[in-house]
Amino acid sequence: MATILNLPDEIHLLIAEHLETKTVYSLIRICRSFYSSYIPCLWSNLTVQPAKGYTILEPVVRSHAHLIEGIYFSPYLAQDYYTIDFPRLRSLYLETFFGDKCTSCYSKGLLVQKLDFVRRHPFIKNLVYQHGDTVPREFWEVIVTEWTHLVVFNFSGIVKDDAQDAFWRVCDRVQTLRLSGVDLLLKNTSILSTLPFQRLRTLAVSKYSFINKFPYRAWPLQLLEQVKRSPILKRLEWSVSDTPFPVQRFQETLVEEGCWPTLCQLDINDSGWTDQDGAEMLRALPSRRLTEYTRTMGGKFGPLTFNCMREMCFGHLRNLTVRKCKGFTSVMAQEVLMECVHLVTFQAPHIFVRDIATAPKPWGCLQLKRLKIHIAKEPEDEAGWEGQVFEQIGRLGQLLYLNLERISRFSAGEDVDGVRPHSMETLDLRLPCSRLKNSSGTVDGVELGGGERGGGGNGSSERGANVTCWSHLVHLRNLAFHGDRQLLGMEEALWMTEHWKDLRSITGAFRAAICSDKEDLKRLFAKHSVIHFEVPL
Amino acid sequence: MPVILVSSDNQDFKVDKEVAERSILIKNMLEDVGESDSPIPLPNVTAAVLTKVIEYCEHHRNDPVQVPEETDDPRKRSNDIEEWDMKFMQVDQEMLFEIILAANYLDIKPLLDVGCKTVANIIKGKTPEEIRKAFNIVNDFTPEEEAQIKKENEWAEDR
Repeated sequence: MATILNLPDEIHLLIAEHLETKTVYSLIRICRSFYSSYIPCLWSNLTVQPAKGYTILEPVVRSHAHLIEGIYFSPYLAQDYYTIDFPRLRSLYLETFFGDKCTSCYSKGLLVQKLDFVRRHPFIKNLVYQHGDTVPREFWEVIVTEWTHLVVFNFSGIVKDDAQDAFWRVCDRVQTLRLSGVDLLLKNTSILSTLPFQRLRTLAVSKYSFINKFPYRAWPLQLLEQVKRSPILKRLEWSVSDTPFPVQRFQETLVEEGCWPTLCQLDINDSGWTDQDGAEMLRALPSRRLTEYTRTMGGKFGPLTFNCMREMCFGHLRNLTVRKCKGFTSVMAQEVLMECVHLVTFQAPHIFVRDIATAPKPWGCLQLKRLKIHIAKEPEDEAGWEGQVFEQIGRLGQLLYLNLERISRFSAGEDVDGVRPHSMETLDLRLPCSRLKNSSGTVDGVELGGGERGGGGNGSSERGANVTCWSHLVHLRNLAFHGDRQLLGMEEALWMTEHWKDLRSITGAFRAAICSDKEDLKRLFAKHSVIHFEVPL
Repeated sequence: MPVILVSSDNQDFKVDKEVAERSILIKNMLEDVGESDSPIPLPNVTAAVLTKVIEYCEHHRNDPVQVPEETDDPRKRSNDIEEWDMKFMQVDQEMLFEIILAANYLDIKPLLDVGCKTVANIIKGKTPEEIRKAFNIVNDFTPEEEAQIKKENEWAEDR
């Protein structure tokens, strides 16, 4: 008779692919057989970061080193960790995590240990180096000469003059190149102009003025010019605060010189862009097949860009992210959700309940996994419209991430649609029982603004669908909402943790958090390993 | 042209070639052998299981062949099971694991996938004790081993 213990390890690995880390941790504690089947999944990718309490002691890491394929090292780590040999290591992430820089023990360096480490691990495919320190020339030379498998290279830090040759040769090798916050004292760029970047598929150059103070000078433009020769570039990201994206040159490159025939993912940010610029860039794309488009740093996204996008790419679009960018309306958002059947990620400033409820057909984006949008209710909305919105979202059975937070005025850009959606009320996420209970009055002295507007005590939200129709969203991991007018209680927290087994984080205000059952709420979230980010009222 | 599959308990199953070729193992076999009407023995699959597997292949006979995307991270893959597949998988545990083993042996990727997702859905959200109960597994660790495992892997609890 077949039982789960008869399954071979390779099938256990396939099962684990659908499970969260904490569940795999439960599995290794079941019995010896499960321990040996699942322990590799638990250790294949490991983060060692003392700052967040993830210190896994060096001897423990060492004794599991043979299972580890990817490792994240925080800059805090003692040098002992660098002396471990990882025979299966393919990904090395020397990352600086959020908060790492704030503490005094942030120690850049261990360069000798790092150099020794890269020598001992020549089979690495992915290197992320973000410790922000000055890497010596030998380090790059080892990678150029010995790391023949390198595919992904992601760097922020300082490159000194004498290291440049080797550094650019590393860049030239890879398929994915991400340079963010790179302080490059580039005096002589002759090396750059000799490299072909034949394998490059993704190029990302970024610099954020609030983090990186040093000027970028000319190298991003030189790099872009050089990368023109790359025959298979698919994705281009550009957010360089002191170097505007060369729109004109880009169009010439695409149209006249016929470069980048396969380019189909754009994440190019420039606050100076007009709607016209955006549209022309899209028209210039030789592939005519945009699959990802991100605009997050100002500029305008108006009807010209939108029409062009509808014409060219609604059939293939998988990711559309529009933030801090003026001109994207609720009607546009509704059209995208209705028409783009391949959409996986969508982020837009706002959408009106009215536009969803009065649309000619339901949303077509049933593959959607990540949605971030503020859903705005208007006083004149009809009874039942809000219920239709709940049902619409309830059909998105693949959702992993749902963020319904109100956008700040800053992110909205301007008062699009002639109104101020950021100050309007949003979906009422309370369960029907607590809506009735709390439709007026106070709880523990906290005044509740929720309930109905214009509809009286027994208004629209008691009718039609409500948050309970989201019980189908079984894969939901992250939920964020503005609870300012509603203040969800224990009932809602219980309901959410009961229906959304994969839930990892909730961002939003709970009434329970400021009332007597504060401890109960904490315990509930802890029991389900859900992190709760409290939003201040 | 139909193909004849023979189960481990010597039952013959006549199925359309297109249906049989949902199994990459059989597809490769047919390609290697060429035109032939000799029956294909499947010594690892019983008649009861083969009946279920053929039912699945019949239903999915017109599905496009899966092309894995190059950037496909398994963790980002869909966890969703189609309604028909969900009903199809409502079998007792023994049959569930038999189907998974058969799908693995016959190389029917989508069926293997659905099987693994079904098992994952049973496991999700359960404590170790609940999982043992669900699969009727006996805890064979000593208390010392349990303590050791906890000590080394506790970090995984809040990831």
